[in-house]
Amino acid sequence: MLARRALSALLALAALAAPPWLAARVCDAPAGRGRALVYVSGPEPETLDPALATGLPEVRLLTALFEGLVALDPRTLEPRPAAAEAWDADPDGVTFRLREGLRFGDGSPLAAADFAYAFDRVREPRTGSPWAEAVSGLEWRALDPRTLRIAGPRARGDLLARLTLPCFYPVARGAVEAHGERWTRPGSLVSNGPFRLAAWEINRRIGLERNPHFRAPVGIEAVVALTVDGPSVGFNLYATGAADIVHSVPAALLPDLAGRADLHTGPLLATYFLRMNVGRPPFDDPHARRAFALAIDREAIVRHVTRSGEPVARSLCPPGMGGYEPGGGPAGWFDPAEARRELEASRYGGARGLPEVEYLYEGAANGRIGEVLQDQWLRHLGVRVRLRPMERKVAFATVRAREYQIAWSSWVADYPDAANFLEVFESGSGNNRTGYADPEYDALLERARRAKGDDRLGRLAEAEALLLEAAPIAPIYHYARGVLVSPRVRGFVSNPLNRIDWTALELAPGPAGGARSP
Amino acid sequence: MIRLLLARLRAALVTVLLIATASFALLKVAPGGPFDTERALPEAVRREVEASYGLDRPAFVDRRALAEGRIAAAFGGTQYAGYLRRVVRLDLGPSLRYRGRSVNEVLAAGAPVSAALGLVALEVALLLGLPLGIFAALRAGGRFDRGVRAGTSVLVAVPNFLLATGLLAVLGLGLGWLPVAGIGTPRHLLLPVIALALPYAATIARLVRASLLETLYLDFVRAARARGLTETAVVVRHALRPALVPVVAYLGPAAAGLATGSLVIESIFNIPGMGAHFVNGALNRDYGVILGAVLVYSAVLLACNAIADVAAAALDPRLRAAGAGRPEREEDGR
Amino acid sequence: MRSAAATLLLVVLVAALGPFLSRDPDEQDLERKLEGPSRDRLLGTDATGRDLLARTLAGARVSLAVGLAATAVSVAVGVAVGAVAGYAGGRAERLLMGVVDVLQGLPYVVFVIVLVVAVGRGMLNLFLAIGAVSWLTTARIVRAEVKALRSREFVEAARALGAGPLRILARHIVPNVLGPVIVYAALTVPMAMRQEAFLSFLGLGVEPPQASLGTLLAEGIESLTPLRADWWLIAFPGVLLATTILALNTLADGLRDRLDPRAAGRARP
Repeated sequence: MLARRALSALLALAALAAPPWLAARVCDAPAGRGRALVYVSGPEPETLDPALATGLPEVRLLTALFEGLVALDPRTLEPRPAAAEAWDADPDGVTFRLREGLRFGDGSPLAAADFAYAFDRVREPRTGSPWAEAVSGLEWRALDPRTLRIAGPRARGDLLARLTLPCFYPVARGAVEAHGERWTRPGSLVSNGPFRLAAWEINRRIGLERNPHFRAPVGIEAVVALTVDGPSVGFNLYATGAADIVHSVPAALLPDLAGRADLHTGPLLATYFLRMNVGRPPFDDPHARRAFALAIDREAIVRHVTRSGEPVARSLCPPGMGGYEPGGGPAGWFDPAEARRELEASRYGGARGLPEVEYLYEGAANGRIGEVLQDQWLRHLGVRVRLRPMERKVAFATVRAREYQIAWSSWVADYPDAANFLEVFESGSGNNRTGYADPEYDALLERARRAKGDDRLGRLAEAEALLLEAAPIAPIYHYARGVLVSPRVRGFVSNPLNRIDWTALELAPGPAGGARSP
Repeated sequence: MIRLLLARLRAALVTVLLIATASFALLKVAPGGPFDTERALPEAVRREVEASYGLDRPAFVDRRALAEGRIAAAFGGTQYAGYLRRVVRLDLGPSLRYRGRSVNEVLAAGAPVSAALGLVALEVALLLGLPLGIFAALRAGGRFDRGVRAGTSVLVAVPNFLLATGLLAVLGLGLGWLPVAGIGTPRHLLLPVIALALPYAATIARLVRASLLETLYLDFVRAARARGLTETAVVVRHALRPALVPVVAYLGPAAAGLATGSLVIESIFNIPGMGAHFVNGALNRDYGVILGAVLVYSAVLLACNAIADVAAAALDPRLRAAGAGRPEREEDGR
Repeated sequence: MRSAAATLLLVVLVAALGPFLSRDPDEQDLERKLEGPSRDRLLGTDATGRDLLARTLAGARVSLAVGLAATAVSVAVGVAVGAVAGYAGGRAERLLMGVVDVLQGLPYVVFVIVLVVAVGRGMLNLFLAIGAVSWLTTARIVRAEVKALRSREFVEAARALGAGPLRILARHIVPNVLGPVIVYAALTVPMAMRQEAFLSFLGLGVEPPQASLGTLLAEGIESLTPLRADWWLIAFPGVLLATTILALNTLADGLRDRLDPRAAGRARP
């Protein structure tokens, strides 16, 4: 009897103690918060394979883990030597000379063949890389362990800028062949950048450690990328001192943060615009398209809805890309009278002749802009547009299948060159999704690829002018950036691509603190 | 009792199989897929990727094979067949969104977190709810009792995410006492646990109060009182044990409810548990994770109910016949 | 009980009359965003300057509508299934109750989410999805009642007079089970409202710009930061939701005490 009661008591005690013990096991803040740079990354990265990654959080991590032939200078966004110490351009292509003594993070030597292998991987359909188009038109060969030649019809113009894309990072063949799809785990990921992958806790954080084999000294010992869903959580982490850098500050807070020393603002090389399906009425008539584009009061949207100081867009390409002057067109201006005239000149003769128009978008943030657009089209054009919200994935599928009339869109520069924006609307591009196909536009872009310097930029500007005149898109604004950086981070340079130069960063000594007030 | 357990197990297996089938079928008709992204996948690449996940095979029936009379091939080479084969091996398949990761991995990363959160919340709910309910019953009709009844009514009505938001706003951001996101230290768990536990503490308090009030007037308790035992002895030694039976039976659905209730708590507090993975999977159409989570939650619910029923039967011999008398489940959004 | 009914009536009235009492919930006034309560914007404004009072009332309408419609669906299905099972007996009953057993083994919330993913968002789908998981207990209750009634004299009499099973069910049996059904329906409405709020909060329910109390709360929580707390965005919709659910629960408890005294013994917390 006594034994039974003692046993029950013991069981009860164990049952009481077990959950807190489990909880303690599950919470494990890593030691050394002070020595690690913590930044808010964004949603859980889908992959860390450089051939597959497309999202911003993934790309940011990859710039810390890998290094390509060239990198973008954080101040000017011009290509500068990285793994390659120099290069020679000739009419057919470019020959790169790699630095001496380059190594991967596991100590094994890095050679030109590793770049060639990576490019092969991207081109191979079985890899499933969304960047397959980026390597098309290029041929490459490792001439010797330190020399890589890249040639071909597209090996000119913006080649250097394009080589900063993650798909052009070198990949260790041994790691991929040994581990297959799982090679991107800590312990099997082999990379050549300033950091190595130390830990990857799903939906929680990604831990990077300094790469001792990197070609240059790295000022920071460790980096922790926090996975968060939702911009306000990220900001709250920064404000309570749990993070040192946060990139996406909620727009609603920017007015309250204005003027703070830790806030870095400026334009971003990205554009928010509307896509119009040229295969569906009423947007099959360019007059109608221009009418809708001209009736948008962009100032009002930027001043009241987004409120982050975004510049109004007069063109698809944002300013600030290496001397490119965007070709402005009628789509860039707000002119309600002209808008009405265009609508009357169209096949429909005016607002009354139009079929029902639906504006497709996803998410509450785009919904707010949609509501303002709806209001403006009603007031300035007399057209009542219906809002058609959709779930994110369904929305992408619908736009891809071109089952929409007019939809929200955006494009963030992969690298700082106008061609990156304009190539989206080539007739064969998978990212086009408007049905816009103009042989003259394609020809101009092709001519630009073969040209150099100002000649090239001129062709691109002509192409953009054509695009804006035909108006399958209506640019609204260029994004603005708001980055909060804790004072203990030294050497941070803010740029319009939000590219971080990891090798230039250092942490001031002392504990990490909160940042509730300036 | 062993027979009861075995019967429940058998029913549970059938249930899980049916749930797996139903979920699979439902998701096959869902619009939008995981490979619909902002940046287009070139068509050739898209086809390769879908083939690698077996998404190019027929879903349920290969009509051509059927027409040719190859019955085995008609059903065996389908997505559904592949799915069933994997489920039997306890392999929940690949995640469609996180390339190179399996659903087992994704869910296993979150399961300990959710389990810890849920178990601690359950414990807190018991430690809070039982004493409150017992004392309310003992002082039935008095001010304490009325206060408990009013307070628990409110807690049961308020949706848990509202409670969590309020706690977050006041304790986390307003006063700054507790951390607001993540699970770095045990302190991080305080707010989520309280938000999760309070509604269940309220329900437990009400349950034990009602049940104790009934038991206190049953014959054998009155007999004990008549024999001259003190009130405390009466309560503790005689009334309490049968009074706890509905509470124990409730623990089954409560535990399962905590598991699912954590869906929203994890989202609000950015806790990387299984609930957060499931919600993200739903929003991103990662059908692998969605199916896997449904199976895991179903299994957990069935197991919790079975255990709770068995425990209740152990406490009260009257219940040992064919699993009767579980109080109506809280089929709500907790 | 009476105060609960009164509260509920007030809420329903105000919500229903909302369009006449307040401004247009969709009207934006970008110059006046995120203002606290003031004289002409009684509950404040949201991030695009819409009047929160108007939006909260509109949201209450949507939440109540979803709650009622989903309950209607669940009652219809539950009564139908339970009545057929209870009256027919035998294999039909075993089959139907077997289905109910299996479905009760489902994690309710999880399955609603799967349904919403499968059929898409929107109000109609929401009614169906929530209704589809709420009918189970109604079916059980109805089956038990119908079985008890099936062998009563007036039913025997009707059968002797040649009435077919459907007629018997419709005219004699179902009216007599309405008591417990109404009680359970009263309980289901707040449950359905909580489900809707939960789904909308997670982003899987009603779509913006349509407001429901759940989406309003989700918008409100986005605004919570250490720097500014637009408390009115959360407080007003939240209090309204909690009060409505509380009133409905109390009403249901009261109804149960009046209409179905046996249920009181079912230890409903």
